[in-house]
Amino acid sequence: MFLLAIIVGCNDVYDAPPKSLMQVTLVNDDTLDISIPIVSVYGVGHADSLWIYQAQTRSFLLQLSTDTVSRFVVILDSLKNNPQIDTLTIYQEPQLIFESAETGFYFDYKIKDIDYTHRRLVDDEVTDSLVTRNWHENIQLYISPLPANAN
Amino acid sequence: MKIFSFTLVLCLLTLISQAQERNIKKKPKRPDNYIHMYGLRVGMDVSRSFQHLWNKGNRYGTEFSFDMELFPNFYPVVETGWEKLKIRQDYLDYSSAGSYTRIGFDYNMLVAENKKDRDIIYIGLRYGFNLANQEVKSFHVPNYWGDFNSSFPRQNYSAQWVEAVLGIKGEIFKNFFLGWSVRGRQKVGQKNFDLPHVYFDPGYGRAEKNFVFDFSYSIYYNFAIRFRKHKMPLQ
Repeated sequence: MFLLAIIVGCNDVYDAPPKSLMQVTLVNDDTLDISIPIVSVYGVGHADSLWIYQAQTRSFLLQLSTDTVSRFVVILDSLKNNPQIDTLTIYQEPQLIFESAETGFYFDYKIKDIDYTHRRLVDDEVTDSLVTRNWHENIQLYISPLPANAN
Repeated sequence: MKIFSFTLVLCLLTLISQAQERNIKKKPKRPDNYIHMYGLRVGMDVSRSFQHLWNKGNRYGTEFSFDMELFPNFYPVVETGWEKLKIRQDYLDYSSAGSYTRIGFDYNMLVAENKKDRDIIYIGLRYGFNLANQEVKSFHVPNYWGDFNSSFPRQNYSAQWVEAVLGIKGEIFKNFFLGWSVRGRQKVGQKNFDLPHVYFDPGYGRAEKNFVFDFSYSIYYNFAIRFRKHKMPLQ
């Protein structure tokens, strides 16, 4: 009876659907070493909702939109008087996936192209164009080092 | 060398099969080689209404079974029912419903103590199939850029499976039986879709699994009607 009462009393718990996130690794364009700048990222048109705020990191994850284009504002080593702001544009092909009736749907993506402004971003390399729920490196962004007199 | 090995294997197989034949011949004939239960036994699986207690979502249904002892200890069985699964959570509103039928037989392994003893322990086999539909009334994918909301209309599908059964049926009052069974189901066919794939098969269980276990708990009533022309004493 006690066991039955426990079973009856239990509510079903459901997990949120998985998320496919694009992993970006930053590489110093001069030394070709992994670079660890202070990173801030938000979506174009979503300035009030920062995705990453001043995180010192060598790589970060980005959520792509369910549309075919995602535009991000990327701020590397934010400087007081001269913020180094770039815009990173990802052209992607989203694919809707049904995980299960317990967790729901989510999107996988295929990266079709990358475009960016060139303040700090110098070059790119797509290491894996498939963005899946198993997060892994998708692109490498080569960044120029800060000038010696930067504060 | 290959011919020698092949001949050796053949000889061994022949010896083994002869030994098995002798063992089979040694088995004594069952003393209860007679019809125990006359007429038709109709059952209702009472566990189908409470499946939400051990399954995720609101799963419920009704199932009836019909069996008769066609030959001594051999019971052809038809089980038919209806099931529904509803899962309504933050990200999805899913429902699936359909009817199913299983056809097969049970073989009684329990030797009756006397002519009034109608309790059985049985093993059985079934072939099952269903006709069902599923619908995603709404779903919601959370996203930084703006949530994605949509739905999928009703989709019709079917599945087939085979099932092994082990169970008991005991007569608690005259012509009233109670029984339970455990079942292993192996899927043999499924009509599926790219999106969303079938999640639930009525009468089977989780569609994405090729093998599932289940159990049942049923009550039965035996309509002791004589179908046979030859005269045998009614129990």
